[in-house]
Amino acid sequence: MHETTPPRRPGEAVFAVFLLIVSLVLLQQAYAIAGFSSLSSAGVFPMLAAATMVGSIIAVLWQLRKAPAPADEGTEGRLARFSRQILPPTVIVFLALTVAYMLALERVGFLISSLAFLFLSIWYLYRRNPLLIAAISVGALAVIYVVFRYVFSVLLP
Amino acid sequence: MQESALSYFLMSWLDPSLLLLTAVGTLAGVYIGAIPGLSVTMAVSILISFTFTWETNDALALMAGVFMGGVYGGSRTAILLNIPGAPSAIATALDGFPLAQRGEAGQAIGVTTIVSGIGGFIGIAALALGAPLLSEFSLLFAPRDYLLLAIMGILLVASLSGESLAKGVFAGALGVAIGMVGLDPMTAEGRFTFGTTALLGGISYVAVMIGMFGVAEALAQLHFLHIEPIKQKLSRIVPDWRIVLKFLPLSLRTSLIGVVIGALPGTGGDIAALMAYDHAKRSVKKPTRPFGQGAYEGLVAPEAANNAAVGGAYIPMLTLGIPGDAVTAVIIGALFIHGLRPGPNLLIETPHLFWFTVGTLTLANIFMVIFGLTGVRIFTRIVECPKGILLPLIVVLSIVGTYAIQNSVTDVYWMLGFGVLGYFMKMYGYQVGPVILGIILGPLMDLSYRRAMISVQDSVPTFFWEFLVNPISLVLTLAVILLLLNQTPLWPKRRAAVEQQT
Repeated sequence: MHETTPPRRPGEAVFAVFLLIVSLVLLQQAYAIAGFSSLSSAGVFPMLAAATMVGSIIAVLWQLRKAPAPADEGTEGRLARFSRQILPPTVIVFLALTVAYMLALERVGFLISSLAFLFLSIWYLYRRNPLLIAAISVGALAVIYVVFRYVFSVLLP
Repeated sequence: MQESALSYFLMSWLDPSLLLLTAVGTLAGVYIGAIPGLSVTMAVSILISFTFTWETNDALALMAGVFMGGVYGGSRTAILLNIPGAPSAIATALDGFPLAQRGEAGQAIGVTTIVSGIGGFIGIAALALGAPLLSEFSLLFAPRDYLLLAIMGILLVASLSGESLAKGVFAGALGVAIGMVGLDPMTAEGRFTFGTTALLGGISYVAVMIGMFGVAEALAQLHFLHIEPIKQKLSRIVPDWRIVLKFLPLSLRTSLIGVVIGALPGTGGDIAALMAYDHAKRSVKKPTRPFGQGAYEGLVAPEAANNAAVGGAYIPMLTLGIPGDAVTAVIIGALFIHGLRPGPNLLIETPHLFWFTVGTLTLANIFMVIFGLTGVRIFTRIVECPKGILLPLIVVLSIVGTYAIQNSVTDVYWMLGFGVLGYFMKMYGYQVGPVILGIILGPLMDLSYRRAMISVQDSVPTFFWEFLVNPISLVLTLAVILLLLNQTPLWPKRRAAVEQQT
């Protein structure tokens, strides 16, 4: 695991820079807690944690600089590789369905939103006869509902 | 005292409902571990949110079963499909799958089951004997020692599991920062709250866990949606006792490796299994077959070690409050929810909890062997559950589970946010394990650091001097320094130079 510099993944540097910005914001926030007023104040450890984040992400960026860059393929080629390796359409669609499900949860209730989510996402991922998918969704939801409502006595949204 | 220990030990054996819960947990664990895409960490994270209204013992029995069964279950798919169902079964696939290709799958699973059972018992024995000793010893620990232990745990995970130390350290520090969010327990100042009251209560760590281990994992699995596994035939599971006896010494040795690696803060079954495999490769001169081509040695070693690591991982968790691996980090979260404080006082104040855990783990280990040797047909059916159905179900469970903790939709937003972050971290080679360890250890580190600093009246020289003059602190400091040096470019160069000379 020493000195292994895997080839740079598409978007890796952007992600690292994003994490660096997050770390810097956290460091500023940590400083705002108590500054350098005392070495045992509430703010010291958050500052240490945020500073470690900043330091380590700079190290990541430094290593990334040495990583072999892929052949220049232009913006379009890079986007295509990003979509293939990091964020394929399947993930985007599934994530969109998940977000929609979460937003619908409060408005239309657990049963309807879960049923719709299960049906649509299984249909999208599994691509079989809709009737079969509907049966699977209803069956699975029934099991989840009974188990969690009665065995775990959990409050469902 | 001894009698009461025994009665607590036998509690889950004699109470029908606890017995049933342990059995159900173990059975579920075997399947969860076996199904690629479902991990024990994921299952335990989601289970916390469903069981927090239960009696503590009930919840612990279920989780102990899932943990024990899950570590074993991963070996099944590793042998049959060459897909490790869990990280701890990565080493198992190296020789397990070639064995299945030779038509010895039933044999291999049989031997694996018995050896896992042996490893499990050794781990539990080490827990029963070692934890009380360590617990007494840990009373000598000063706050700075806890700080060092926690740093060591995060560094170990960070250096061993990721692709670079920097990424691992970042993930650990991120976890620590997340753990700090909310009101400071000592001064009640808001930290990382960005001026909003919504963050005063902190971010629910269960939400982060479910996001990172549930949703992030489900999203990552979408990349492998259409990979059809190559199936191997499996008719019956028969353990060949001659093979088991022949490799008993090896399995005992690797069990000890498992216990030690499991007990080190931060490292668990996955690393124990890889180290045990390595040990077998180096110590066995004449294997039954060359390693990688179906050597039983290569199957026995990691499987004994990863189950022994379960008991080992409980040792620092129950005695020091420092999790032995990612699963025990999640289980500590569960103990917090049930109002328990794992640490040196746990064995003194609540010895029943300790002996109950030992008893339940033993029971789960027995169930694991029973379930391991039976139920082949249903097993292959369940494992073949298509990912297209499985992944949406994981998402529904993650969302319901997160909501259930405090009936809060905000928690669900956090969960999903950390799920997306965890997904990108996985894609770019950052491990999520250190994040969870950081969240659990962060508050402990903060408190230990400040206690240590206050005790020396904020004097920096005295603070660092104490690390060097106290024997326990000195050993731990050296361990941390060694861990860091081990990862710098200097070390391999030096080692290469030494190797060249000899």
